[in-house]
Amino acid sequence: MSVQLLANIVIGLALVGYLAYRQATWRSVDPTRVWRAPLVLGAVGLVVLAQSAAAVTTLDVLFLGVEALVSIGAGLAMGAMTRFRTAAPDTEGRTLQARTGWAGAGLWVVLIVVRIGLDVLGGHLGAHLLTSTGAVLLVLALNRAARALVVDQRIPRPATGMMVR
Amino acid sequence: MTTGPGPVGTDPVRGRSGSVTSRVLDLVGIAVVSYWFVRTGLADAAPAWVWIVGTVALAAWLLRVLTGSDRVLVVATWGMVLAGATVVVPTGALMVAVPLVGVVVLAARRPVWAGPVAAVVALVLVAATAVVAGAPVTVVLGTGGGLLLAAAVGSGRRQARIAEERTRQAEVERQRAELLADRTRAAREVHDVLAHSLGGLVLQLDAVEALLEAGRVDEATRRAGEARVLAASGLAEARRAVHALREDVPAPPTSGPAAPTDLPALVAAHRSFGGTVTTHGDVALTAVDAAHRAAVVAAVREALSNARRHAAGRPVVLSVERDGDAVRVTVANPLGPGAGTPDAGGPDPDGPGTGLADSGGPARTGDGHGVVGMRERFAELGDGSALHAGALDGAFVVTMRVPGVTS
Repeated sequence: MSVQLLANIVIGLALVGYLAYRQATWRSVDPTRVWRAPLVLGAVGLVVLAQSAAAVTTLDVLFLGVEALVSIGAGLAMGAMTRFRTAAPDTEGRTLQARTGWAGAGLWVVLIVVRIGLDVLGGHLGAHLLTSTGAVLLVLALNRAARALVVDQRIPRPATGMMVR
Repeated sequence: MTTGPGPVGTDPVRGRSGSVTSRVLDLVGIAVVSYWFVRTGLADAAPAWVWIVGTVALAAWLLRVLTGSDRVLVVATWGMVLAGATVVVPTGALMVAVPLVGVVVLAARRPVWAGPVAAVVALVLVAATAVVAGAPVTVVLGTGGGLLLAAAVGSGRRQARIAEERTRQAEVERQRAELLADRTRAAREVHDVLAHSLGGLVLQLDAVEALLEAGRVDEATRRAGEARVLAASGLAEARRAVHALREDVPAPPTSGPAAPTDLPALVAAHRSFGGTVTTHGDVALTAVDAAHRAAVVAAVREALSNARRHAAGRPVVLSVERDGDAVRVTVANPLGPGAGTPDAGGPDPDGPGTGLADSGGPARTGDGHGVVGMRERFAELGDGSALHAGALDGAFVVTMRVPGVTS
């Protein structure tokens, strides 16, 4: 197990732990900003991936594709699990709050286990692009984007005047 | 294309974007891809599994074009994506058209994620077969780019369809609003006619009753005759209003006694009901055009009718004044006993029903529709014409302002 792989696992675990905590607690959401995090993450991931300048193989594409599918699937499920409530306005005047709950946090753990498994398997088969930081960020961005896609459609809009639960 | 413009593209009932043109395009695509699939397959001596999976992909495409069932369509489209993507590499990227069409179709439908997920699934299948066959990565990346584009095209189609749907809904809303406006207009016409003639009739009949009790039979007979004339005129007016509502054109003169349609006639009618009215200025309204004159006459009729109901026996003052380019018409009467007391002297000249609230008694059956109707009629003229009604210094005052004809 290379040092970079180990570092990636540690960074990934820390990130996933933080995100799992955030998902399990009520957080203010801004309907106009649900797409910001996935876009930023995706852009940074693409730039980092391009900087790594490693030769892309078909095996890389295969493993990245599988990871993307798993990540998107988890994101869609998280989006579907998200619950909304209205609360007193926060410092920025947002009244809408959302959380995914502990089931969503559990999905993160599943996601990270699958990812580590694929990392190890891909590393053995020669798919080295998979373990790069850019790929990690890109897969994370896909997960957030899939969640945003579902959340964006389920957000209770003031125009409908209804709470969606 | 030999077909005319497809009639289905804008068909709201079918809900899928399968115009005749796009169906023909699909069939042509199936024929061309099938021909080249067989030709290259024979030339390269393709393995049996490629023949089978490729045939499944093409059959799924055909099924998608021909089916009318929504569920079959979804299954067939996923079949196109899965089977088609599997044989992209073995057929030298010939079959890439099949998963591309599948992704476009899925991305144009609900749920939103189906298109992107189908594109990634297809990419994984292409990459897997490329790994096994040792194909160059450029084939995989090129296919990936194409799939991304297909998903974008599909979601563009979905957005266009949503926009079309919204436009249709907005049109329905507009028609509903128009219908409501028409109903309001009808309600106002009915009120104008019936409140005037029936209100007058009630007063006349009250008087007949009182005269009969006093034994003044001759006067009572004269009053009853006037009441009959009023009833006949109200009936004629109601017929005219119904005709106007049906035809949306001014009604022809009807038989029977004509209802008062100018201010002098209204004043005369008011006096015949036993009311007192003093006039000032050009009551013939020569400085006002026909449309505005009709609105003014309707409002004055309503105001006089209200004065009879709520302030019976009190003197009414009707004045017409030139005010620069505009003409101002005012109807004022002292508030009757009890009438308007909640608002008397109050600073709310525009409150609906002000001074017109029910104050009991058999003839006092108003609920403010008249004032609302008067105000609407003036607002509909849309040229700065305005009407104010309310209690002022112990009197109920209706003020109208309409543009005068500049000579």
